[in-house]
Amino acid sequence: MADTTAFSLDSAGKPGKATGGFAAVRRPFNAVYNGVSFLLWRPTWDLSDARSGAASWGWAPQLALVTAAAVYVAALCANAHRNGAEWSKLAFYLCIAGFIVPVAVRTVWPSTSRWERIWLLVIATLGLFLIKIVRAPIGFIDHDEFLHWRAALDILETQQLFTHNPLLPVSSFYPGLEIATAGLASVSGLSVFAAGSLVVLFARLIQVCALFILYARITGSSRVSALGCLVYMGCSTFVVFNAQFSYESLALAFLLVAFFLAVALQQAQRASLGVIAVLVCVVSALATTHHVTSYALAGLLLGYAVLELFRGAYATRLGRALLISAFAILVPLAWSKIVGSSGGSYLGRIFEITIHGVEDMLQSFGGDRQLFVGADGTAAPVWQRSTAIAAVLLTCMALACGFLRALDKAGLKIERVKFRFLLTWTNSALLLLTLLTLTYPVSVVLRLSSFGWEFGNRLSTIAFLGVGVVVAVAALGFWWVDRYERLSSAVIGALAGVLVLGGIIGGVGQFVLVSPTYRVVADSDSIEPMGISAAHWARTWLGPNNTFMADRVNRLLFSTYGRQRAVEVGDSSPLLAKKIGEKERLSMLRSQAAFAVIDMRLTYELPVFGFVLDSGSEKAMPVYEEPLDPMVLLKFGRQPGVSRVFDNGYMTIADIRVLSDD
Amino acid sequence: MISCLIPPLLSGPGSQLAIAEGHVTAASALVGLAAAGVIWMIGSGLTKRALADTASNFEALVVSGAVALALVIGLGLILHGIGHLNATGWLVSIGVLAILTFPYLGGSIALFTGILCRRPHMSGRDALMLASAVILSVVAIQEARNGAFSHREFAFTELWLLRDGDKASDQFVLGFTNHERVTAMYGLDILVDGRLVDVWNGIEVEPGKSWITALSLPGAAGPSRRVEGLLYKNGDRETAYRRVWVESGA
Repeated sequence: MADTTAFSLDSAGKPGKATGGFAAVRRPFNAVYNGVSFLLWRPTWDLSDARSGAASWGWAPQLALVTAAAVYVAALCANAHRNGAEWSKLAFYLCIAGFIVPVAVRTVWPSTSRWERIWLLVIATLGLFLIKIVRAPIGFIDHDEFLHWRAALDILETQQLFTHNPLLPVSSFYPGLEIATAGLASVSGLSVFAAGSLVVLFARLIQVCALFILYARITGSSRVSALGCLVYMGCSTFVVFNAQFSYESLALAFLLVAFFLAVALQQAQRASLGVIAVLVCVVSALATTHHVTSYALAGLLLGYAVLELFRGAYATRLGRALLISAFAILVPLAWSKIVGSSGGSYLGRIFEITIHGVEDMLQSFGGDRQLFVGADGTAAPVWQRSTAIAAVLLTCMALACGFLRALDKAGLKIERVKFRFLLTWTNSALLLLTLLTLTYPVSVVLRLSSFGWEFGNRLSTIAFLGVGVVVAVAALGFWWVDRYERLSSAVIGALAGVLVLGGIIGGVGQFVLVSPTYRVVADSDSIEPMGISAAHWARTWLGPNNTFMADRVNRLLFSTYGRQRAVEVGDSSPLLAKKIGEKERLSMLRSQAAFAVIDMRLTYELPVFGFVLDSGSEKAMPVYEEPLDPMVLLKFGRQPGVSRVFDNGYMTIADIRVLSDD
Repeated sequence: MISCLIPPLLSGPGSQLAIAEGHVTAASALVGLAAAGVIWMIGSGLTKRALADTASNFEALVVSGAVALALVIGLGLILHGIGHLNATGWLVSIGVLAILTFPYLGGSIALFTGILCRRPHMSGRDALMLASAVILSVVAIQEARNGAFSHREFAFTELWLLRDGDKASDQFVLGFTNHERVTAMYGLDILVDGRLVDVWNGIEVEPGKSWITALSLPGAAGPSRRVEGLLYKNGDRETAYRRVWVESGA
């Protein structure tokens, strides 16, 4: 590191003035050393906004129109896909690239103003949200959305919070999103779908803008910040999962605003009571909205405080950081104590499943999950696989090129004092975000396991907070070539497009558009009008709150459209038993199930997710290798005293009270 | 015994996806918009005051969005506590909060005007393009909605049979709804313990419509009695198209 013959760092920061070149090889290995140093830490071009122009709209109106046109074509593609057009999925992805790439190209252009960059981010955020709406334009279709829809319906109907949600009991204790949605719905008369979509859209705009101002505070560059935000949109959870009507969609906005406020407070000369009050307000709101995100914020703030401690910050600043992190830890704990949340056991289950997955993965020296292949054997097309793999490789490459450069920007230095090496740095927030990227490979590896996949996917949401800024530093600090501005912008814009498309494929893959035909246990591909009509029938003719036993998808439909009470997943096991034995009778006695939904379509093909009820309840069971035996579902009809009260040719509803009564 | 044709609850299975739990009108939408606007004004006023020396206008604007959402959550918790978590409770509490924070509303005005005054000039051409983008986005969503509504994979008929009353009741409700997308001709058989007790033929039902009848079957509630309904379609009397039954034990 002491050798400075290759490229010098640009701590002075003159635009595009990296000095030096490969020096003559002075000693063996110098060439190798210079090559590696060139790739990993030298040079770093100027990242400041020195060349940014005066505030102007620039290309923002034109790109808004391009985005809207791309969304319109995407809507046509979604309709074509419903009619079975095979080309439509590729065209749908190209529509997304059609506005992300030009937005990214313009964003990294050196003379683009800060004002324009903010608008470009808003346009990209709106565009991606509209893509999500085009995917599901008339109702909720994703699994988690139904869980929170049920909670919001309960609030609207009972005018009470904390009512038991049979679909996701823990969500009752974190009603932040549902409060905001129910409030808007009850005042405006909008449906939960419309009100929830507006709340999530608002939260999403806050989320992206908060990330921008956070990066801008840390790096001092609107160019790096805007590109970092676009890279963040390449996270596998960004476009669909975190845009769902689900508590983390709102919680992420609170997390980023709270982290920004913590950084702003540290940077301020004096502690401002106003900032602290706002921070308390936001952290408290987060604690009532989502448990995992609350703990993630607590972890981030604690890490920040620890770095400030070792940085040797002034006692008052250190005190502030420690106080804030302590508050961020205590508030969610206090909230879960106050409401009597079982969040601990819920999180414990997730960790247990993840650890189980990691163990399996280590035992099998790889992963038990076949990438890009569903449990039913359907494989993703080659172009999807290539894009997703390219996005991961690109991210890894950018992290390799940007990691040390970002550390350098954080002011990290290794000083030798006698026989000791001392680490010093000036920017704890940037250092923290850079270190956070170390969790990215972990999130990728966890995806190789079918049980660790979910945890890995969610971990990437946090990992990408660091990935965004580090990849932006690599792209603008190393890949950018001043002499070829147009080419550099185009390349970086195209790479941002690959990242975003790869993220979507990694997150939802084949489910990006709703399948034209019903698929067995495939969540969004299994939600269709006939099942909804059956659920409506139950609500109209049986009345609400009957206890129902059903498979994963019908649990969702009957709990929301049907307003029925689904039994616990574990108590639904009699549905899949070959006969009603003593164990099944005990289970039905316990759950007091009154009706069972018998969906014969479950026997048509292999369940896409590999299970019929839910992942948790069947983790000990082998994945289905052949479609469900129809006789398993027909057993209720052979039981004396059991009635078939509803029949639509594919689904029947059995009155099984005779089996559940003492 | 009565039988009738009733309009469907909804115009078709596709439209059931869009069922609205509420009924939005222009007035209620305006009230909702105004309530959301007032909450954001309150949030931005408080934020501007709190972050006066720490954050730029844009930073304060972003934070104010989160503060507004936090205020909504806080209000919701309070309304739950006092048992008024409904539209009236929301409107009154937002009004009270606006009065209480009135001195801070100046900060909100300063924040928004600060941003608006510094905005760069927008030419007529740019404004036209932005307006076109908004219109095109709305058209795109409408296009997607039309496509989703019109997509129906399954054509089907729902048949149901329910006992009207407790286990001892001999009153039943039988009905079916045509979701076949075309008008269909139906026939119905009612059996008690396998014995044919009633027959209907030539029931013509339009798509989306239901046919419902009340059945009085004296003695059908006795021990081991089974009331069964068989539905036939388009004159095919060989195979029952749909089949439902109610057992006395149920």
